[in-house]
Amino acid sequence: MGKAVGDKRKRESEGRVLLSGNEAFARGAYEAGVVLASAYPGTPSSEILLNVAGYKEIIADWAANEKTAFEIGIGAAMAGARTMVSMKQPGVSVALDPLLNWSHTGTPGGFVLVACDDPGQHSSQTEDDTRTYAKLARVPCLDPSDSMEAKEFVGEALDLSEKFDTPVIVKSTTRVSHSKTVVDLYPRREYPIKGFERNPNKYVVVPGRAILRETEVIKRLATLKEYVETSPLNKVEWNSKEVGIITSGIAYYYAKRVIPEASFLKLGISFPLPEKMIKDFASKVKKLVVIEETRPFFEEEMKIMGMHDFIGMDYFRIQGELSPEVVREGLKKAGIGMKQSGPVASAAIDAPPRPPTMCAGCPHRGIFLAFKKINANVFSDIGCYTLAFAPPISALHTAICMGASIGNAVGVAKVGGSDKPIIAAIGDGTFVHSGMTPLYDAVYTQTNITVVILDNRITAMTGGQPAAESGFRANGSPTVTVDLDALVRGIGVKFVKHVDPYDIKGCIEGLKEAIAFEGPAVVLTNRPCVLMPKKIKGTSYVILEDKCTGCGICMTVGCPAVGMSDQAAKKSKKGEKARIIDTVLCTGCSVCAQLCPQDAIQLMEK
Amino acid sequence: MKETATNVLVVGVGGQGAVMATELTSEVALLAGYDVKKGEVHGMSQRGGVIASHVRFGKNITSPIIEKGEADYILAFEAVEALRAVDCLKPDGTIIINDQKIVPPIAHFLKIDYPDKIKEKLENGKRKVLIFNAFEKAVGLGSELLVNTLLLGVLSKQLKLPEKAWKEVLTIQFAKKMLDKNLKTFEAGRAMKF
Ligand SMILES: Cc1ncc(C[n+]2csc(CCOP(=O)(O)OP(=O)(O)O)c2C)c(N)n1
Repeated sequence: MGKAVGDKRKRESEGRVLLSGNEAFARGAYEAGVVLASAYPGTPSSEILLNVAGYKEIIADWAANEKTAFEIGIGAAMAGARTMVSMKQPGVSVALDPLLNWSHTGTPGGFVLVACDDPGQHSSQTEDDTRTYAKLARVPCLDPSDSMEAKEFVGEALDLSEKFDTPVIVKSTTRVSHSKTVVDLYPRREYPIKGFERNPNKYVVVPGRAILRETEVIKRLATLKEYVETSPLNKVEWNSKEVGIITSGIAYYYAKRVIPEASFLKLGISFPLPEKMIKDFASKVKKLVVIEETRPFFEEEMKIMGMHDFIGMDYFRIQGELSPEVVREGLKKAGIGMKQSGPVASAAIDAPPRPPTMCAGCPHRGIFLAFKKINANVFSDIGCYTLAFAPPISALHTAICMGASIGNAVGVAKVGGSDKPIIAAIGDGTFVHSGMTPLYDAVYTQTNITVVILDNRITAMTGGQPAAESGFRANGSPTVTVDLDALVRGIGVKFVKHVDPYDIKGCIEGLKEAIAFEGPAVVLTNRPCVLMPKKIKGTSYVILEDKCTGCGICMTVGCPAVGMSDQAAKKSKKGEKARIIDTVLCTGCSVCAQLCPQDAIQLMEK
Repeated sequence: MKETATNVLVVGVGGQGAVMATELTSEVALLAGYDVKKGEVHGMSQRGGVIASHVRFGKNITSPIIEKGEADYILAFEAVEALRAVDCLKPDGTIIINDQKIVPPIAHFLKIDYPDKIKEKLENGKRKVLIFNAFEKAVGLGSELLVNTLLLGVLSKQLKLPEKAWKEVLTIQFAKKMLDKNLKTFEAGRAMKF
């Protein structure tokens, strides 16, 4: 942003508010004239589209998966509309094919991908670094440190995208996405939609043409390398020249917290790197330190530049998140003095663990208990139901990546590698994301597996985003509901059975039939999520104290509503063994009642 | 530019309202003219897991997370969570605890007892421990839904943020129907003696 433009925008300010990074990305899309936003949910990125959907100027929808989200975005940009696509970092792997090709063709409309890394794996299957994708795709990667930058960098990315004919990535991390910081709001700028113009030489990637595009990508990268040397997004802050720190993203603020007296080269663009600027900075400071999160990306790039004399990742952390503490300890280890000493931790006190659990009334509970009863090998997937792997349910044996369950089950079955029934258990959301194609493989090869689609009609794990099975869109407006029964029959499955996941016996019978069937069989569960989109609360169950023997079988369902309180223990003759149902939490699903050998769990009388 | 910060850590069990408490506290700090950063990780915590939400306000706030030993105040919505968070407290910090027990379901399975003597465990040297059953008191004031506002009332009395800003934020937060009750509850929290 030039200074004059910056001043003009300050004058137009619409106020100062606190926004999370994700709210700020959404606001950035609004201000920068984005017309279409397309996303697939995934923590820590999900609130971006949720908030975009609140702006009536932007068409915002959840797509079936990250690849389709990206391709819909490409279409909008092909029509010359400013476009934002967002997802979590593992999602970029799913969208990698279109990303690499879209980098090759270039984009007529501004195109930004916001990708959120999750260092520390708070809610991710892998701890990877979006910057490595940017390098692979040879597209610029911007790296905001707080919400104001998150907002501004969306506009900057779109400007760069249009100027250099390239998709641009804005990389976030859990801390940037989920922290709230102060943001100045500006009005929206409108950009006319140019409309689709034919240019097959550029947009048809047949080898004879694609090779010409490769030449363009190489040229573009060289131009970008020139540009980043003078970009205002890369900033030098001179303080003491004793220590110079090269950093980006949230790590910048951790370093500022710990050693504000140092000089800083804050990289707003983390790919490509400004080689001259970095070498110039390095030559003027006595000790050079690189502080970055997730992978030693800057470090490796600098080594390619022939730089070796600096303090890097080894001193800080090679796994997990950074924090001011980690930065301070690393600097100490490297023998760097700091003016402020850090706080001293108070003594910790032991507290019982509190891992996340399936909710009371979760429709996934009963069906997984049925899997356990029939002692199946359960190849599963990613969603709330993955919690069934943990005790006390412990009824799930693999979860590799979204959509893997069915393919994994097919592979095991093909080599005759299981002496137990083979079940692929997959959520409706995950089935739509990437379960349909492996089901096709099962049909095509007539492999004998049972696929259970856990249809709670929502993407629950990530906060309740709607999908095609939900019947409504991101902004809440109604739409058609995709019929999963018709869908699987359409793929060619000949055995389809519906079961009530609250009915354990019914589930076992249904599963047995499906397992006995020669060829791929599908079992669909039919209960919605109890939390989203609506809270479901039926009449609670209670434990009849005189019938309860305290055997504890009701506790093996892992329900937060079934437990024991000291009050109950005190009041009851059974003391320690007294069980109790929290009638506020209990939704009345009846699963625990079905398991009670004494019939001591009964519906509460009103 | 040097950072000066007041650090407030709010902890609880997913779904209890810890995030809303930091949300309102940070809005009050912003209104009072401070730089503010608020941070937490949400994701799995929704499913009955632990939630810890950080607010830092003052001048030139850098990091959005409170380090161990750095919290001036901890507000714990649940007693065990107070224990879990205490390594973040400054030696002379204040900890406000809702003495309401939510037994982690896994504790039954692992046969771990819910800890007792929470107050005694936390009282150590110069620490100030303010503990009461906010759930029961809120029910007494009209509804269990008032727990959050009651605890904020207690917290607000400790923080050096103008009362007027608190009331302004509460007025924006609550619908007309609920506002009166919430303002009264907030006052009740402020008036509490420990
Ligand atoms: C590639 C990728 N994208 C997104 C996610 C985030 N994510 C985790 S589970 C899930 C879907 C859950 O939906 P569903 O299968 O319907 O199960 P539910 O949680 O509703 O039980 C998503 C999108 C991920 N882990 N990996």
